[in-house]
Amino acid sequence: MHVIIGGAHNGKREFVRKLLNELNEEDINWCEGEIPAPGNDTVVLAGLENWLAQCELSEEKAYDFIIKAVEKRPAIIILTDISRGIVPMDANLRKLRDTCGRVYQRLFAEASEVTKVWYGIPQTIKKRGE
Amino acid sequence: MVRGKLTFISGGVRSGKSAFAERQLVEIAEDCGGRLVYIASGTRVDAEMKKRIETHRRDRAENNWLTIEKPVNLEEVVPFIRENDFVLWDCLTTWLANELYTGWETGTACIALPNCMERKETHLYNTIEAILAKAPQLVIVSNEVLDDLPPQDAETKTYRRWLGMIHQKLVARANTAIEMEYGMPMFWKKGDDR
Repeated sequence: MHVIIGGAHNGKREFVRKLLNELNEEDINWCEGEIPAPGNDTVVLAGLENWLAQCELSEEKAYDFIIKAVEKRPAIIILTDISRGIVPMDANLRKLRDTCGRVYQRLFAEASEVTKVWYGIPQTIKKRGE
Repeated sequence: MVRGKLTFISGGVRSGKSAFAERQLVEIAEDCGGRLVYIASGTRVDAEMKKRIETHRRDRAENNWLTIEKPVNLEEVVPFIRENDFVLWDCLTTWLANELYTGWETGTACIALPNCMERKETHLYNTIEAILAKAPQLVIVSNEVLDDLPPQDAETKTYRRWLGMIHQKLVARANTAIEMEYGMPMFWKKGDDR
């Protein structure tokens, strides 16, 4: 599992497209704001924060649901950093930031590779075996 | 003629990005005997902003900067730039807000007009290249504001999209790209300048 992290409009999706191109991956299941059923094909999971915002599951179950969908297959998860702004007035948004923060931490821990993208430039934060 | 070097610096508020940019240019201008030029895009919208501008001015006072105020229409600086000028533009975020929202009260803001910002964006890159055709170094300062929850209103969404896109394109053009973390520069791109 490869996690891509960065702020909004930083070129994360473009980076992933190039990466998949280089790997000659053709059969890609690209999911925006939704979690696919478990399978074997390569999956790209983007807009996870939108899915989490609408998700009725508990945080624990939501995390398990994500992991079930990405385990046993090549997976790239694109995470948008939403953690560095002013504390929102809306309690639901505060909750979403907290949930994203905790879920992102667990996904970072689980990932074999983590890449931060800053305006199109990638930096490896974590790589198993290195 | 050789194109000047472009440096892009962004960071959070009070991360020391302006001070770092100024120090860098002061040192190199001293070595080369060049002139220091400061392009300011902030406007005195209120007392706090006025004070902020004065603080920046005081910080620059001892090094003899030529200050050019350009909240909009950055291309107007080009005739004032000479060879051997070391130029700092502070900052892209305020310029973008000025360009997008000026005329908001009268319904003539660029953000509401089709293709308006597209044209201004093209102008921007042309202006930057025109500056670099003369000046040996241009440093552009901007802010990190995209690691936040997405905004609810369409105008702020548009602003963020433009800012991210322009940042990406400037980083691609830059010789050096720096993310400032409380006085510590993180070099995402390190060119052959300093």
